[in-house]
This record gives sequence, C-alpha cells and structure tokens, in this order.
Amino acid sequence: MSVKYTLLALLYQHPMHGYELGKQLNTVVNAEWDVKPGQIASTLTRLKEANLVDYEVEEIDDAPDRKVYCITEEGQRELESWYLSAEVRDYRLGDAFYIKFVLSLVGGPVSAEQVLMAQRRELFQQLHQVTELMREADPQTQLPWILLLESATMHLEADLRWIEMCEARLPALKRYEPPKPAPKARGRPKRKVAEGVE
Amino acid sequence: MTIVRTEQLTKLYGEASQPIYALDKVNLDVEEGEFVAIMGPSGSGKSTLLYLLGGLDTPSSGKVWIRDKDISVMNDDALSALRRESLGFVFQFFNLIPVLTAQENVAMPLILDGVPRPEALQRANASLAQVGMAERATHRPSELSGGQQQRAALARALVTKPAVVLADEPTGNLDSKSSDEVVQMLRKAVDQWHQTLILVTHDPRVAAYADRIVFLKDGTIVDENRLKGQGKADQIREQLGRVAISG
Repeated sequence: MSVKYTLLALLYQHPMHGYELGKQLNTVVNAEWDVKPGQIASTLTRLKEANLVDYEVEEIDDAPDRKVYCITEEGQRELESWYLSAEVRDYRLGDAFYIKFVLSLVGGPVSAEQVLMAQRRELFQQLHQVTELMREADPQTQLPWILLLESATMHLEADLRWIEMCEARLPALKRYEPPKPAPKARGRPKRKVAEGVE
Repeated sequence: MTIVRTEQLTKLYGEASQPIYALDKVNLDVEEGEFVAIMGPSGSGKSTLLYLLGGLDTPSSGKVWIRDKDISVMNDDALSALRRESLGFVFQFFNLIPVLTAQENVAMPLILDGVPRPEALQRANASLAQVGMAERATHRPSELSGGQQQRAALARALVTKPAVVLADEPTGNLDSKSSDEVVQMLRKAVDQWHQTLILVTHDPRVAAYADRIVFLKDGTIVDENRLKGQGKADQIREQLGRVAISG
C-alpha cells in the first residue's frame, strides 16, 4: 500500500493542506499507521510534478501561507485505475521456510519434524498475540485495525494448516525420490537410445 | 499450584498379544488457572487423554491426580461424585436436555448435588449471565442457536465452580463467528475467575487462545508450546504497520 494513492484518495474527497492530510490519513486508514509529515510533503511534491495534484496558496494573517492541494483530472483517472486493479499477495514470502523444510528432508543435523515444530511454535505464538491484540481492540474506535488483525489471524491460520499438511505428508515425503534426470547422451548416439527406447 | 497431574498415563486397546497404545506413558502437569489446549492428528490420543482426566474412562496403567486425589484408583461411585463436585464438561454436541429450559439445564448439576431447587435456579441464572445468556434463561435448546446452546452448556459446566473444566472440541460444531464467541467466553472464565481449563481442539484459532498447547502424536506428547508471555505484540504491530506502508 503506498502513500501516493492514499493521498490521492483523500484529496478526491475535498481539497486539503498537508497537515490536514496527515491527520486524515491516520484516522481513515489506521491509527497504527505511522507516516511522517516529511513523507507526506515529499509525496505531494512528486504528485505535483506528475501533474496528478495541484495546489492553491492560501494566505493567512499572522501565519505563513500554506498550500491547499486538490486532485487533478489526471489524478482522478490514475486513482480510478488503481482502485480497479487487483492486489496480488506475494506468496514468495513463504519461500524461506519451504527451502528450509525440503533441505531438512535430504538429511542434516536437524530432523524435518524438528523444523516443522520450530515453525509451528513461532506461528502459534504469533497467532496467540494477534488474538490478544484483537481482544484489546475496541470495535467502536479501531475497526480498521481489527480488519488488519483478522487478516493476520487468517494468514497465520492458513500457514499453520499448511504445517499440519506437511506433517501428514512426512512419511510419504521421506520415501519420495525425485525422478532421476535422463542421462545425457555422450559421444555418438546409438540408434536405440536416439529412438527413446530404454 | 499443580491441579491436574498424570504420571506414565497409558491406555491400551485390543488384544494383549497385539496391543494398540491410545496413550503411552503420558506425563502432564496443569497449573491452577491455566488454559491448556491439546492438539494432534486424529487418533493421536487427545480425546482419550481428556476422558481419562475426566474419569470417564479408566487407564490401563499410570495415574491421574485431580487436586490431591488419585482418581485412577477410585470406584464408580467415587468417580461420579468427583465428576459432579470437581469437574465441568463441555462437549462438541452441547448435550443439553431438550425438554428443559436453559436455566433448568444449567441448574441440573446443582440439583443432582442436593442443592435446593430455588437456590439452584438462582445460581443457574447467575452462571448464564456470566456467559451473556441472561435473556435466554427461559428458552429451550431448540430455540437457541448453536453458539447459544454451547454457551448454556458452558454455564452448566461452570455453575458448580469446578476445579477443572474439560472441553472436547467445544467449537467443532459451530461456525467461525459462534466459535470465536464461545472460545472468548472460555478465555474469560480463565482470566476473570481463574478457571482451570483443558480443551481438545483441531482448530488453530481456538488453540491460539490457550496459555499452552500440548501436541500429541501416536499417544505421546511430542511438543509443548508456551504461548503466554512471549511478548510479541510490538513485533506484530510493527509487521502489520510495515505491510500497510510498503507492499
């Protein structure tokens, strides 16, 4: 999730200056989401350069002038296509554990069972903690945060079910032998081999 | 203080020549006020363990202590008195009596224990209120949703203020929202009333509420995972925050 589209989405509601954007961002998106004012300012500058936002200078008595930003037509089109493009979850996040697990199957100082166990311990401890955070969260004031926690819960649950599946497959995995790569023909090929007869 | 303890607890099925070990020398200690989840694949012995702890089944060898009493040597009368006085049970299929109201169902263990009916009904009401079921006291089980029936069953398990509540797949027959409600009630019983709870489940989300998970496989404990007090809240807050920003 990027700051860029968040700002465009907020400016679509009505024009705002930088400070107001910062305040809105934390209330609308998620109280836990800590975006620095500097990050908002630099993003606004880049959006202005790309002609996705524009601003008017507002003069205030006894205070420095401030820029009130609004979304341009181009910005609106950009926002629309962002809303309609699907977000694809990065399943490669699981790679690190997958590699560890399959390597443990070929033999090593630690058994595959122990590798699964260590992973399961960590996942359950995280799930326990997410559950605690969920119970502490107030549905009246922290609904977006609860959504995020629910997502974490369900992903952890899926990971745990996958560990369970790995465990159930362990006996088969231990017997499993990967298909041997066909030996490369060396020298002048014999007729029979060339015809694919073994 | 240890409130439940097993020593070399073993349960055999089948012929003596070809015994099948449902449980094989299991040693388990549960502290007072602790919430322990028991997990494991089908046939790993988790329900057998729970039934032995509850005196609903007898061990082939080994011991079970509830408080300071060795229940593995008790006769049937002593066991049923122990179950009435010291244990509360919650099952997958609620096991409420269909012709009685929620209140009467909850009062039943007290009435069987000789508590006068008006007092039993009053205590049943208090127990129903604890699980958020005060307004359903006069409903029959058929007039309650699955989650409400299970909460009534929980009120019934808690009404005698048992030393230990034993729950066998208490959410196994519920949708995920009702399941969450029931397990939150169970957690509340542990947090607020210091209830000791031992629960068998195959649902990771339910097990994650526990203080500790014991994993069984082929009748033995293969792993124990202490969940309480691991202090990963900051790590998770940060992770969720980071996912939100970068991605």
